[in-house]
Amino acid sequence: MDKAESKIMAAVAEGNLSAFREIVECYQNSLLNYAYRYTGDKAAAEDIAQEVFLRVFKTAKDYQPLASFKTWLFKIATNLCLNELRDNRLYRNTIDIFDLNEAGFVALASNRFSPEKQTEDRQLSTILMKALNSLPEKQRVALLLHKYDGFSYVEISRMMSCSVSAVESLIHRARQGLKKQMSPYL
Amino acid sequence: MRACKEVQEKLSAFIDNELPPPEHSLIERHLKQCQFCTQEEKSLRKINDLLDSIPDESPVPTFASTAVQRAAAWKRCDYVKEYLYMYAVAFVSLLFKAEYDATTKGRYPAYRHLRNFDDFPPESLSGIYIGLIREVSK
Repeated sequence: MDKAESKIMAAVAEGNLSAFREIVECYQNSLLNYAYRYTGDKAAAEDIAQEVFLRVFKTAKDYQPLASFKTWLFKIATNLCLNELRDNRLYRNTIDIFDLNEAGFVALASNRFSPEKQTEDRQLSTILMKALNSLPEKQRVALLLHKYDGFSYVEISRMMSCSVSAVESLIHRARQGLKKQMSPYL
Repeated sequence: MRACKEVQEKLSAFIDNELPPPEHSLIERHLKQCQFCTQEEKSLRKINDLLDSIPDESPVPTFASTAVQRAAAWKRCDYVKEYLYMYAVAFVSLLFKAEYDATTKGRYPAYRHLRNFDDFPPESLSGIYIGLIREVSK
């Protein structure tokens, strides 16, 4: 953890709200996008990100600057995603890739380079988000943490409390799952 | 030479540069010779490229302010809870001390002599409590 963040967290632990704001402003984008890609729902993602930041504030006193702050922050986020969302099923997006209209799916695949590419890119992103959402939770979390937040397999294994080879396998199966679902676009 | 199945299971880690250098080189060598595994590698890389196409979302402009407000509200509640807890502990400690003093200074008999509810001295907390219960149940 860099010393500046360590100092900021010490201030947060004392209840300093401007130090807390600094943390929020620094990590709001990455945390929101992590939650967004996990849930596929922006409003739910904002709720989760808010909850994560509140937990950071509440537990700042327990924070030990041994690992990177980002790892600690995303561990909280991951636990929240894996436990609370699964238990409460509040935001679980039950999108199923197979619910998509098959004709639209094929048309989209065949017109990838038409003038409407921008619109299609958006549609493609939506389909990809749906495919991501249909992955088992642990596979999705491991893939998102590595792909979008740049965590190494070792860091992810610490966050998810599992072995590095389990992370390797989760990420591989996640990619295989996406490959299967996105085959019309490959 | 590694079996294709074994190599394919390591392909994701290979793409992510997460393998130790000797294992990475082994897979690299295998890919140069095996078309099937090279095809698999390419499709996994394409999945990676597709994942890059998901656009980032921006938080609402009030996101940080909301987070700070929630933290401030929690901080206020936490102080109230802390003070309430402190006062509750102090109050209970004082009660115990008062009862203990009254017992040890002989204002009323030690509890070991109590045999039934009527043995509680009427001015003790227990006596007052039992008196109240009786009043209510009349």
